[in-house]
Amino acid sequence: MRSAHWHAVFVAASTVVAAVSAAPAGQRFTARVDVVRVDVLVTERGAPVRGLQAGDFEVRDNDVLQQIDLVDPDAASVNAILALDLSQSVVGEQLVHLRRAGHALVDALKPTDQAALIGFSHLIVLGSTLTRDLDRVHDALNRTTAIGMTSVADACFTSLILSESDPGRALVLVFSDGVDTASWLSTDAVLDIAKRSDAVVYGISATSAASGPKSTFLQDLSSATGGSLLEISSTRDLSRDFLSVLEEFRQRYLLSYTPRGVSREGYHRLSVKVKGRDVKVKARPGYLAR
Amino acid sequence: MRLALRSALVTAVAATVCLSPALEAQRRLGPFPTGPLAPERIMEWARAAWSHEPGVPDAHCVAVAQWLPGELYQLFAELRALSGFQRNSLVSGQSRDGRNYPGPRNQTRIAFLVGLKAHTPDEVNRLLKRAAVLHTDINVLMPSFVVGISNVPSPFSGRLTFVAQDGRQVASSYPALHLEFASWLLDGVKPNPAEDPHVRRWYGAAAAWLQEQHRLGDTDWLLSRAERMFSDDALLHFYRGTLDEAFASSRVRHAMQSTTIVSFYTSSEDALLERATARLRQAVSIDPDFAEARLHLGRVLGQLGKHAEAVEEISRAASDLTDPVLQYYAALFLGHEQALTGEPDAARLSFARAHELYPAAQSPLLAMSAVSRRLGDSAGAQAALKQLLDLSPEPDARTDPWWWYQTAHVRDAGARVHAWRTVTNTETAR
Repeated sequence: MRSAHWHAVFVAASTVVAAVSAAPAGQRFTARVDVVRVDVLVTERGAPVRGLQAGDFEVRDNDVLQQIDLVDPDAASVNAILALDLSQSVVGEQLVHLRRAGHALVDALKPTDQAALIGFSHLIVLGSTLTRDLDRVHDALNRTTAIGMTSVADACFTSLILSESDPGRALVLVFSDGVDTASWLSTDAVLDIAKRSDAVVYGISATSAASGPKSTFLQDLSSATGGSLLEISSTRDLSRDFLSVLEEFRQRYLLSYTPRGVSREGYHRLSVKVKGRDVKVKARPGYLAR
Repeated sequence: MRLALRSALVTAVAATVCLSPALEAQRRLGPFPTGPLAPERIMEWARAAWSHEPGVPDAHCVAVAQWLPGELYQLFAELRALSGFQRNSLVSGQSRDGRNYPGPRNQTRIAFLVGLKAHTPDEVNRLLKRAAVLHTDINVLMPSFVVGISNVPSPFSGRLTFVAQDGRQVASSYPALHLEFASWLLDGVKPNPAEDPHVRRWYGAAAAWLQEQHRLGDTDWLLSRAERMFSDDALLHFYRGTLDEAFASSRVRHAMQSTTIVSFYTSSEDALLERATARLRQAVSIDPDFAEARLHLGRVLGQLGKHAEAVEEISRAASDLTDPVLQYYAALFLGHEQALTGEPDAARLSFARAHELYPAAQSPLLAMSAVSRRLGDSAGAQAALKQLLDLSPEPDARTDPWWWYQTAHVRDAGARVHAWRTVTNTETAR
């Protein structure tokens, strides 16, 4: 029986140097102002709430109310970075499901979106860098093979840094079926970087009775970036899971503000609310200023 | 390098298990023969020991390798009764299966010993050492003969080995039975195995080989026996320290927690690291020039959060290391500690040094990228990452010694076993 449950986190924020507001597809951000972007998911009785305006939100940075802008999500292209576990344990049917799910997600992207593929075992391998030429990503997916140990932390770090190579709105989707056995970077180091990053991480963790105790890293990472972790017991419906991540990501609001009345240093606590509505707003708890 | 990586992929940990009634029944019906061992079998064993060519998987190895674990144990019991080579309580008294093995009458015993060509203490010693070579070679040279899937523990030690791959249990098997047997045999060396350089060298070589195979449970068992005899041996302290370091790693801890048959008792990560620190300190205290032990000591201290001390030990080790792999570890670990002690520029230089030593290794590039990103140097972070992503996707073209850090210190295991065999062959030649 499928045992999937979402640990949803609804808001992501980070400091960015280059982004002030969303640009039309293909257009680059050029301003050099420290701006905080807050990626928000609002739900009511489990369903995403659409149609909110900037004035509906209340954002506090270290308890100081901020003046926010709302970025039109239709104008902000998605940079989908797939970080896929290709270690020995994925060999066989799971790899077939994984490839199929990757293709499904890439097919669901819009022409203005970009995708990248990072495969990881003990090796971190770039299948494709961020590109609108989605055939390249499909080709890279077709070439994937499973071998070796697992380096989840290294792969997540790579994906976060890769996401900063382009100012688009980054979705990092990490699939793994096991525990980290080969990373150089510690999970703490990667979480530290995540708090400085603009990307939203969604994790999909395939676990079974034989997997042993669960690692909390993907849960911590997705929470820290405003994403979610989906735990699944079978990869049979992985395509549906990948698509549900993309669909949820498209339902999010992207808020931005230039911090006022707060120090630029250190860790900033964030609070996001929707005024006068009984809705669920989940936000990452804060961000690390550079 | 490929071998080193392959062994790093598979971890074998062992537990001393209490069998369930069902397993106990299977154990009794399985490999344990119930009747007495035929005298011919003992003679066959002695002939194999004397005739086996060290280092060659010859017909003698093949013949003995096919004996069932229970037969091996029975052989051991008969030998013990015959030669009276029991040294301590481990090899005296009642056998593990509860039966008393009546020693043969003196006449028979003498006949046997003459037949075994071991009727003087010196000849018994030589036979035991030749037999230790035979059984060591069976384990080392013929793993496919002796590593079978099994849920039956060793009759010698009561242990069962769990094989883990990519951090999870994939099978259970016998432990290194023939090495266990060799260890028991060497207990019989007179007058005292603890004073015999051959026995000391065997423990060093066998522990190195087991660690190189990532057979951590077997190494643990072997070192526990070695420690009772050779408490002044820097190499054995080093192996014990690195073993505890491996047990503290998330990969091994997770593998042990993923077993479904028994629950391992494991100390906390910090307790294991503290234990490793103590052993590594002992190793460098016995041999202050033992740079590799000092390198591991620095790494473990860093993991315990003692970063300043770690920098000191790793720096001291680095100045004495000549092997590129060890220099690479020193640079990587030093950079890591420098980054944590607020020296990012020094850290970047150390990581650059590691990258220079192994340009196709990904760890230094990840480390450089992370240090740059934490400093807010996004361009630097991107540049280091680009170098990583430009590396060949082919596994054979990618070499990162970090992946086999847990076994790199026993990269000379084959040479140690070979050296031990050669000396033994010379010393025991008739």
